[in-house]
Amino acid sequence: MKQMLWFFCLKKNMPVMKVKILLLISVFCVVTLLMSSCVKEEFDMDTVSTTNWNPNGAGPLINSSLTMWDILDDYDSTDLLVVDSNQMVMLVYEDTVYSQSAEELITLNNQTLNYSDNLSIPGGNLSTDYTASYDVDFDFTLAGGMELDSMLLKQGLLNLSLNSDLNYPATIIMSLPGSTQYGTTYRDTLYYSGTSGSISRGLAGTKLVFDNSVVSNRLSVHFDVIVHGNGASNNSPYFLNFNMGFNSLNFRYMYGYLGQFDLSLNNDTIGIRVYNNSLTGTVNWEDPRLHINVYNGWGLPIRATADYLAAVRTNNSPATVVISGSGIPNPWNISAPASLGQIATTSFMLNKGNSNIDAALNITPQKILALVSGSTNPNGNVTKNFVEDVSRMAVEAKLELPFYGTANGFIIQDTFEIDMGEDLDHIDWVLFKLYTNNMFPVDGTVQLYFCDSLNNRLDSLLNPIDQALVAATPGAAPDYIVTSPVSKMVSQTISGPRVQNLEGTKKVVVCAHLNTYNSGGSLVKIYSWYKLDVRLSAQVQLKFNSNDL
Amino acid sequence: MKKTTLSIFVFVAGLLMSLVTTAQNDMVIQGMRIIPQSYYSNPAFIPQCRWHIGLPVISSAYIGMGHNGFKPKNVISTNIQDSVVLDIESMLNSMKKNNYVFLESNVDIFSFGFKIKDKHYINVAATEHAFARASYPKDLMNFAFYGNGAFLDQTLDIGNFRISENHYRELAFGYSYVYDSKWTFGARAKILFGMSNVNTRRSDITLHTEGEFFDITATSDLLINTNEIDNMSDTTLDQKKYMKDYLFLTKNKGIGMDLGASYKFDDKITFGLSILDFGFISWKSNPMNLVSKNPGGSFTFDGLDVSEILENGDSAFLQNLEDSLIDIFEVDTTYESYRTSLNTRIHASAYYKVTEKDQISALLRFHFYDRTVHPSFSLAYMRKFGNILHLTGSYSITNRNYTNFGLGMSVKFGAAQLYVLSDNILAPFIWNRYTWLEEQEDQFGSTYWETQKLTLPRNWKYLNLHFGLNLVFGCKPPKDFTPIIE
Repeated sequence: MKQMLWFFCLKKNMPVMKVKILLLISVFCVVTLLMSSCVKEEFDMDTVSTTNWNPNGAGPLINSSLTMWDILDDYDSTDLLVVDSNQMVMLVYEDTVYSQSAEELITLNNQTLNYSDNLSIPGGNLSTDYTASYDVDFDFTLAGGMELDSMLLKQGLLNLSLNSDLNYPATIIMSLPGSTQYGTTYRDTLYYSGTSGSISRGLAGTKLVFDNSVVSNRLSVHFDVIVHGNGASNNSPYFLNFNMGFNSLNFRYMYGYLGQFDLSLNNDTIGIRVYNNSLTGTVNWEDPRLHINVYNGWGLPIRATADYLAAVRTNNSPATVVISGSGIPNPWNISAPASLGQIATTSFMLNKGNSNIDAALNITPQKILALVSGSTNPNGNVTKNFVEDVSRMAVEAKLELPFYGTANGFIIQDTFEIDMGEDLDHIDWVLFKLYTNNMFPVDGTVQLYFCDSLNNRLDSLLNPIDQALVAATPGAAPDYIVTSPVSKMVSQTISGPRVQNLEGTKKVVVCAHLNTYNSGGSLVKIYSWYKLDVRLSAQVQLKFNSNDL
Repeated sequence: MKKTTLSIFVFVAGLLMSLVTTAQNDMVIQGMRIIPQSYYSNPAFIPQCRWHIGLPVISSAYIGMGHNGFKPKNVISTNIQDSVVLDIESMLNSMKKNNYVFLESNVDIFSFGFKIKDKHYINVAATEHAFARASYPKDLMNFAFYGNGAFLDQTLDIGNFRISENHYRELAFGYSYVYDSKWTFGARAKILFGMSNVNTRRSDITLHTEGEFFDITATSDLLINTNEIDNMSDTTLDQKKYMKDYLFLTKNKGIGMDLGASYKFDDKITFGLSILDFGFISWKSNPMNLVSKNPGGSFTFDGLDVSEILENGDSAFLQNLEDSLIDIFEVDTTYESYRTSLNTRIHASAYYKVTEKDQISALLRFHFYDRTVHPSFSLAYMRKFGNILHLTGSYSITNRNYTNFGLGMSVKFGAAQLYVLSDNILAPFIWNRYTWLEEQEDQFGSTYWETQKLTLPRNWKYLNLHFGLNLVFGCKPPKDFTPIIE
């Protein structure tokens, strides 16, 4: 019974029991799960190795729109690109040489005067002042046949001394009639007491006026000797000995006749830098012009001579071409300025029509030599001269090269410093893209050479070489204006062993072979608005393996 | 039966994709009507018990975290030599356009609910919500690994770093109404009190490399709004006092709404649809905005201009370049109030009562944030063991993870109900361990090598845990009661 009762109770309560057991199991499972965790895998990070890393980078390097000014900057940074009234570009090279100045060429030697005379004081012992006057001609001795009318001194020294047996004190007043100092008549006073007296005076601001009617360069001097009687015995006649000197004279200006002398000039050399980096080739300038301009600050006639004009090439195959022709005046009389302080200009121009200037330039010279000399008063004393202390003659040689003509086989080369690094192992390949949009009527094949510090070529960029620049088509004569630019894209990949060749690159030599349109067979003109758009871009594939990272 | 099969098929047919998603709440709770907090997923689903009291703080505590980018096994593996291999390409292939790391927590401060005449249900709850989420773009990783040269003529979105943080308090009033034997409707009105916020409204930094000349164009447009972050980082403030003020912040108000409906198709099948967290918060207490000075500005580098360098010198050129970059990428700081929307969700669910004790359910969730829809899908089976124990198991596709096996349990001891739920029960328990040797120095200056360890979940894509303790009453249905779902 009891068992049955127990069994009955058990059976009735079984669902509840079942739930409670299930509940306990659930709780146990949950708790077990919560209390434990499973480490599925373990990784030793000290053995880590990465996969290869091969990034690829791309970017633009250069994007420029180059005008003639930009292109020639490296070649002609000190010279001039000029645009004429038709917007055509021309190169202007010029240089100027100067003669010595007037004060360097004309030297005034020291002048001395020694004059002796007697002084007789009438009457007996002198107790009052007694004045005796003397007029003396002081003739200046000047070189070169100069005959001065006047001269303003900016520097000089006048020394005056008196030796005498006069036993009275005296005051001697020396004046230069007609001459002034700072606008007033020149006058000096010497005090005599005993046996002698002397003075020294600066001559700055003194204008000396000369009389050339009888003797050249005669300067009038007047002495007033004022004897101060003191009652001593009168021992007349007395002797007077004047010693006068003009020393260390420097003039500010001179009027008169300055004589005949040579104006020597240094060689005038014009550097044509555009050819400095040219290796070979011919350039035909259709309208070159060489101007020789003389600027004369001397107030006197000058006869100049173009002693030597030549184009000189110093690069490969040195050569010299003498420039000659009917355009060179001989003799060449240089104009003089009308008054003091002015400059007179005299010029001549050489072009294809009156000289061989085009042939001279065809050798692509690095410089033009112009040697000009001059001499003064070629006809003698027929014209009055004037000159300032700073007066000079200047000779300017100016070469104008309008960009009008042809060029063929013109090779220019320039070198740039660059360091590619010593370790390029991580570069797999490099792609260069060079794009040009060219408005110039010039073809160009450009190559870049990678060189080491000793200029040994390691590699070149374009292999095979490619024409990066395509000439734009010029229009019809006479203007030859380009209306449409021409584009070209050149790509080059450097990979494999060639990348290693770049290691140790310290220099890049850019070498361009240029021809004007139609291989130099057609005339072209270059205008100021022409541009060359250049874009250089690069893409680099790098490689890093596990050991590098 | 035919009608039943067709209905299930129609619903399941809508579950097409298992797309990446970030879940804000567990999905396994949806099928656990015995738990009062299941009401939060659809206000039309009236809980089984007549009334409940949620014990303060411990009635509902939810924590979730995850990273839907790559998993450790995508990056680290061992080769046949037993060396560890870092496979970056595999890591990149496992990532999507945008990848998220998130951490969230929801805690009920208090809650209670009760039925009136089995036709009405009232629910009141105060909940503390906090979440933090950061996203990073795959394009940036691609750019770093492959380089820009591998993406010519493509625009890389390298700056899409979005940081979101939200801490707010919610006071919700829910009401549900049994309209008829088929339809039930419910709604929850919420008053929101924002605490702190970081909202990345725009973080668009792009890089484009053109294919012909490799010109590089970068654009930038940044707008990040924050609230209270400035104060938190202000070391001059009295932090104790500030924390007190912070915890009782009421200046940042907002409103939200949950709407729900359920349709009892027949005795076996019930459908549900809800829209949750439809609302906004206005941030005013201490806003700070980081905004691009030149929004949408772009800078293109197309190479060095040699003529400019020759004319002005390279230092002037570089200065111009620097000024241009600053002009594009410079960021201003302003202090404007702003508004953020809540992360709205749409739940579409279906239930099939296999037997009185067994139920199969399906849930399709759409989560809206970062201008994208993030769907997830869950399939669950629940078994009742009397009125004491409810067990559920689920399979979910969520957060780009296809191996979420969930487990849930609700146990009732008298009036006390304890529940534990997780959408991914395996994640917290299966780990990988990473070891390495690190040089250390002892007190005598001698060096030695010590093994360091780091143990991480093997699958860190999605982990969550939801547990709580309620007091529930009237959970046993009367004999003539036709439950809404069961």
